[in-house]
Amino acid sequence: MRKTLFLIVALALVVGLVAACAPKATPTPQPTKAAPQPTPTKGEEMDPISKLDPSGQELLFWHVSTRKHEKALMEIIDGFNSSNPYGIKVVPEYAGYYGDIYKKILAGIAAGETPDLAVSYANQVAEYAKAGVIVPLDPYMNSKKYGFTEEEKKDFMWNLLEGDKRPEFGGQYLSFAHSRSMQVMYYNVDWLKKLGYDGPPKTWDEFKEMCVKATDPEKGTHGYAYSGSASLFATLVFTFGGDIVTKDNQKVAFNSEAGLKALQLLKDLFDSGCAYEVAERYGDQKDFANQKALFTFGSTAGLPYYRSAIESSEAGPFQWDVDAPPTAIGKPVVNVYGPSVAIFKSVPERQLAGWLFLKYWAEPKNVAKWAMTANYFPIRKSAIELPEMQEYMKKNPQYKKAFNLLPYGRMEPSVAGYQQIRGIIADMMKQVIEGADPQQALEAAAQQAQAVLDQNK
Amino acid sequence: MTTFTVTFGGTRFHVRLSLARFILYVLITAGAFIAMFPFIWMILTSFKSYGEVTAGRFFPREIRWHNYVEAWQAAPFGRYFLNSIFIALTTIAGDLFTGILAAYAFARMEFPGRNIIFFIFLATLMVPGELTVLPNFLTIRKLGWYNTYQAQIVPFTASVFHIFLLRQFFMGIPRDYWDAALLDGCTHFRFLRSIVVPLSRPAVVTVALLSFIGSWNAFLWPLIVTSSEKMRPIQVGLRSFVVEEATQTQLMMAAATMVIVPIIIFYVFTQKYFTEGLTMTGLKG
Repeated sequence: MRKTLFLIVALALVVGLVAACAPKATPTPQPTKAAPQPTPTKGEEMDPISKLDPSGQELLFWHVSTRKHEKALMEIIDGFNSSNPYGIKVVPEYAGYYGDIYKKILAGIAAGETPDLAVSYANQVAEYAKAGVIVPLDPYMNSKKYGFTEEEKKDFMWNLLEGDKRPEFGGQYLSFAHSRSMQVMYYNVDWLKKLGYDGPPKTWDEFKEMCVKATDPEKGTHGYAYSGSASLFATLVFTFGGDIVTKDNQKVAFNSEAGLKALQLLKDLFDSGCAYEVAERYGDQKDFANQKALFTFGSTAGLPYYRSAIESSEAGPFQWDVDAPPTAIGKPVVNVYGPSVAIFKSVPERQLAGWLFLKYWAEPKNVAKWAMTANYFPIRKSAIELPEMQEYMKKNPQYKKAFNLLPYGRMEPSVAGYQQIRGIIADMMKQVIEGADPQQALEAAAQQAQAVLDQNK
Repeated sequence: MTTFTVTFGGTRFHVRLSLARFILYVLITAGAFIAMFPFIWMILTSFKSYGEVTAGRFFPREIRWHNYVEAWQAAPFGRYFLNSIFIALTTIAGDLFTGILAAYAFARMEFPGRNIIFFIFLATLMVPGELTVLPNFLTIRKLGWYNTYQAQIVPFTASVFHIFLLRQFFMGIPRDYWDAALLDGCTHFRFLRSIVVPLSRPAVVTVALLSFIGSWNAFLWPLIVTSSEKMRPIQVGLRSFVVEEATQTQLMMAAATMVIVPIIIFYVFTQKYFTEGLTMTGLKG
């Protein structure tokens, strides 16, 4: 008896000691408190930003751009550095590609040293925000002195910035994007004509029918060169009227009828032999250019590479085009995506200086320059009116066509942990095209994804 | 015995080979070709156009030297090269210094807890490298080494695997040598310098080569601990050919060819020791 008592006391002591030694819980992020509401501001008290003076700040900007992208970015940065009246200087630093910059920032957060601005995907920004290092942008956007005017606000296509808004932070913008791309269906116009169709498929049934007709084992041709990714799954789910997670980012939503139909569609395409998975990265682009596949799905950022591959292909060039993916809900829907830029917490003046750079970058001539370099779409309507943009559209008819699909754009969730969920979704797709039961694969993936969401709350 | 006639450069050679030997040579040549195939592909690809890459052509239609010019201009490769060479050489020096001393202690010296310490060392081999990134980064930051050469060098100047490799090799050196050296009044350090290291040249060179390759190929760590181009190594430069929606494979391969040239040169000079190091299990004769 005494022994047991002794044991219990000893145990309690040890537990107490461990608890005392454990590192203090990191303070939870409180940007919601610090930031005023995103409603239009009235008077100086509601708009403390306008009182700040950003003069003389030097900002560190981590980016992912190389070569021609870097050149365009440098031009924008140089333009800002030489023209802003506050003497703000942006210092760019290449920090690797998206995966690398993410790791670099996580290490920086742990060390307590982050850049002033960084390029990342919105779901990565969501993870930084959880650590409390991201500045919500609404007060800056709405500032009387430094924000956008009402007229400017009307000029933006806000549906393209949907992913930058965070429900957990009172629906505020945690990042800003200057351009977006979208996932479209690439199709071979000449080949479709040969098969007796005068236009691209509007529904998935038509798509499947065309795929079957284009498939010829003897010639080695297929309807659809499939390259699986969570973005493709999102596209499919959107076209069946579903969603990946709920609006409040709390619950997985793809284990719905839409999700099941999406997986079933993939399974049908593979079972009938008219779709095949490409072995290498961008292999679908290659097979499309060599007329081995009638359809592919890919980003509009890939348009120039498709064009160059088609123009120099062995079998010779052919007529091709892009369109919204087939849909089951009666109206087109496209998956819009692309990286954003976030501002990291420092002192109010520096944060404001960062905002002024983002705002400068958002000027029509700059978003147009940036869009044309990356073959992305500017997020401002007025940028399209610029003569250089008009010229660009004339030269790139597919780009123009895709541009007109922007109003149908929807965005993938940008919740913390989405990067991990993307992996789960990709595995699920892989299992299904290799013969797994769609319903079971869907349920299993949804469970795993929900666990990730819960972990990231 | 069969006689084969080979014509090479206008001269005829008569080679006398047994059939078995001939078949062996054919197989070895085929094996070598398979092993070299990625390199052949890399070099051929470095001369192609983007269209030829996507069309999957094996041979380029014409040799595009311009790819090399473009690749060289894509990033400050000259500076990256010097950085990589400096980092690699100093890493090797540090790695050999700690490795040889530690391996000798574990192999030849008696001290309490030797085996336990060695097992603890070995246990760290089980820790995946990715896990050490964050603690190492925090250490570097605390030391104020961010964006310096030492941040890229010092963490790699001790390698448990290399210590292990050297220790196994040192243990193969007969104990009698040590006894004889001791009789002549030799100290541990003298014995290590004059006898152990020269006898273990293959192992030492192997470790140097492994250390060189590791340092030359490092990417993520240098990217995380540096901020300026002045400090960055060559692998970071190679990354500039990865662009969204398409990798400029032909340029990347041109750059990759330029990057592996130093490794190949290094290997040519050390090849003998490298193969010895891998095949020798103990001392011969």
